[in-house]
Amino acid sequence: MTEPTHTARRWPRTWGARCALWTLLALVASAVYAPFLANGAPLYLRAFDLRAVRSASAALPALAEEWRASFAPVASIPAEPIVRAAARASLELRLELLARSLDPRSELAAHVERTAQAVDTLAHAPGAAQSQPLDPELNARLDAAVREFDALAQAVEAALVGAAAAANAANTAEAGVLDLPAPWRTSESWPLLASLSFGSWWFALLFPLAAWVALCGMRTRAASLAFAALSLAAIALTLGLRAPPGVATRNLKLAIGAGEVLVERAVFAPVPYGFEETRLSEALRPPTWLPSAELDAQGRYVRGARAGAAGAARPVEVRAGEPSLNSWRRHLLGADSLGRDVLARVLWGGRVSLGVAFAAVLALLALGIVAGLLAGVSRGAFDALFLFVAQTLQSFPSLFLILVAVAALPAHGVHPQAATALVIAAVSWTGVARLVRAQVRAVREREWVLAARASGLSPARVLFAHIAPNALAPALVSGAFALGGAVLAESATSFLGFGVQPPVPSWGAVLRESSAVEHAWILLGPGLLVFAAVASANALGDALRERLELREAA
Amino acid sequence: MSEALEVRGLRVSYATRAGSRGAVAGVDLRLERGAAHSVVGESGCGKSSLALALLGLVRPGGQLAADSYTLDGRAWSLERARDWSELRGRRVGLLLQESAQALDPRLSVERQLREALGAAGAGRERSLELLARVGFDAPGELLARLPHELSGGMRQRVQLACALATGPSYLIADEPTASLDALLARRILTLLASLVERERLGVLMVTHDLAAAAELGGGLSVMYAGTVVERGPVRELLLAPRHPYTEALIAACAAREPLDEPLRGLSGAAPQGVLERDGCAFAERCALARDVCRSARPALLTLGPGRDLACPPRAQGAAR
Repeated sequence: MTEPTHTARRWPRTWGARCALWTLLALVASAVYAPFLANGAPLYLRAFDLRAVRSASAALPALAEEWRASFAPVASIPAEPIVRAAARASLELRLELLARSLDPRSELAAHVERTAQAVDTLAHAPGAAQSQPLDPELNARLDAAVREFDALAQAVEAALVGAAAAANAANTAEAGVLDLPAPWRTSESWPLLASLSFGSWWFALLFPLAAWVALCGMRTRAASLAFAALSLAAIALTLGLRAPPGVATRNLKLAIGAGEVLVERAVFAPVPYGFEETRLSEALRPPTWLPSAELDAQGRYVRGARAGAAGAARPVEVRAGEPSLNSWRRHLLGADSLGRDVLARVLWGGRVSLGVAFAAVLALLALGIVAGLLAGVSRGAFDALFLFVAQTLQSFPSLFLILVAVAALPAHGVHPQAATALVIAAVSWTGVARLVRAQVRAVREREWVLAARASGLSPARVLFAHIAPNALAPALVSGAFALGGAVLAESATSFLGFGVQPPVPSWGAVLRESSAVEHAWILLGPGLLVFAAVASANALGDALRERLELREAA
Repeated sequence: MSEALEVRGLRVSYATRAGSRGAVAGVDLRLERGAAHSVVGESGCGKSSLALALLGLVRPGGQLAADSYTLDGRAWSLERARDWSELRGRRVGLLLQESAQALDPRLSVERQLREALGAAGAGRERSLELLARVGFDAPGELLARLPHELSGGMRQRVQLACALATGPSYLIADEPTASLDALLARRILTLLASLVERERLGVLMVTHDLAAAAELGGGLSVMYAGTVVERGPVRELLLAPRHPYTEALIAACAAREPLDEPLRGLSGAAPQGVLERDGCAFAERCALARDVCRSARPALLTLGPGRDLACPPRAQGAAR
């Protein structure tokens, strides 16, 4: 099968269509990889988590007491092995966290090791039966273990005094200097990767495969094997990189600033902001490469219309991993009314905007193709009903229908993004359905369909193997145009406040922030991206149609 | 038990605003195994409808009826869908006019054949064997090709291979040579003739080309306005036509005029689909027409062995 690959590689032919294809791919790529591009959590972190160690040590005595109690019967109920296992797991978690932050050769590490062993040896001891006192020997050993926990907690507290002093020193000294006293050590983590969901991994891994198949074509068997392998890899990455409980992946920048996490080395994403990371001191700050965005140390504007304005100016807090106050790349697209970085929100917004649009197109294609096929082969009542429904739906302004439906749906507990996608699909499937219906009517009279019927194939087989595949080409073209329409529809609903709910960003929701002429620069990023997505989807639809017409003619 | 496809009183009619219009108005036909038979006539005389009707296929809005339909001694019901699905492909195959749309444009030759063979008989060996049977010397390199990458003659032979895939004993060929050049047409006809001879296939060919009918040999039926007006062995009928319409057809053919044009020497045009009428449909254009022609529909009378005629003036002349 060298031939189809060849034709696929030549497609699309025109310069404009090729541009459109690459633009759309770039937009989808930026949405798929947004968590890697814009994220408040560092990609790599070598640090000492003072907060986690402190809370672990503080919890030790109480947890030990709880664990001990789980051996004895409560009132008249016998000791439950499950309760004991839970208490033990929770203890071991704290011990593991301590061990990770300790120099393995130190006395404190040995102490942790001993305590863990004591827990381990007692783990399989029999608990007390119903209203029976605990075996005196086991009781004594449990008491000893609990005393050991108390001693360990005190030793950790004592050792932490030095670490806290180091934290203060690091806070006041230049960044990058961390003088951690023994026996403490830093540990490695990948907070950004650990915070990714299975869906994020899945899309990030499958996107190159999908792009390759779309651009170059691939054998079905190879493609499905790759699909399965990458899906398994996504599962492995999600489970393998998940941060152990007790290790923070969120709000790390704030913890670093507060001296609760002592950083030795941190690598941040190119845009080191989360999409919901607010900073009121930078509210509505213009893009930082503009002269009018320059701030002084007190957070007052130096130039432009807002210079010298007596307002609630306060010093801007530059958090860990962020460019300096007046660096040109601090906020490339400015900051919105809550001081959130617009570039980060636009990148994450693409996930919502394009995700909703693609989901809507898939849903409307599925709905339209099924309805169109059924109406195409049937006569009489079903066809009449189909035409009535389709024409009625098409006679309403679709944006109005979408707004009404989206406004009504989330009240019943539907996810707002899913609701938007479904409603867009439900309102705009009629075009695809009517195209498919007309095409089925045309194709079923073709000679090869007659030949297929004459060779004794069942009507269902003739429909699905010979009519449907040849009737779907216009539906695909229409789907490409519908993609642009869906991006616009989603942006419009979110712009009006009916779509995604704050703080989730979408292009329309970011556009909504630019409510005044002074902040018109907010329009720049999301506006351009919406334009690029719609224009390239339409150009791609045109290219697809030309290609299918060529094939039809050949 | 006679090995033949036999149909009596076959009628195909379409509902129109002006009432029911018959495309085929009561045709009797008998096709023996291992014999060829051609049906000729102008465009619109109902010969294609006849060909499709033998497989139980009608264009949308059409009605199919017959007094009897017998295949290899067994009577088949025209109403039962199961009868048709058992008959189509496995007992009676269909070969259509060559065109870009005769084969599914999406499927390679191999997939077309596999589709025709069905799940049971699917196999590369079987496909190659079929392609060799329809005269391809190197079938292997053909399998991956798409229909638009084949020439017209190749497409037609692939279509024939598909039609033969399920091993039918009879083949209905609807204008199999219509859009092929003379050399390719001859090749297809020779192929069909050899299948008749070697594999005892019964071939019914519908055509508007008398030369093609002569090439295929066997019997010949001349159709006009949904009825058979003359029938006989092709050579005898071409050399000694009895019906005035057959004479006109042969004259036109000798003048090398395409039959889609109005016939020379005849005024008026052939009716496109016949309303129910009395009398001979050809009467208005016929120089011999008498009152009897206009008042009663002429029956197909047997003149001699395998020789039938539906023309009262000429039949009387022959009887005398």
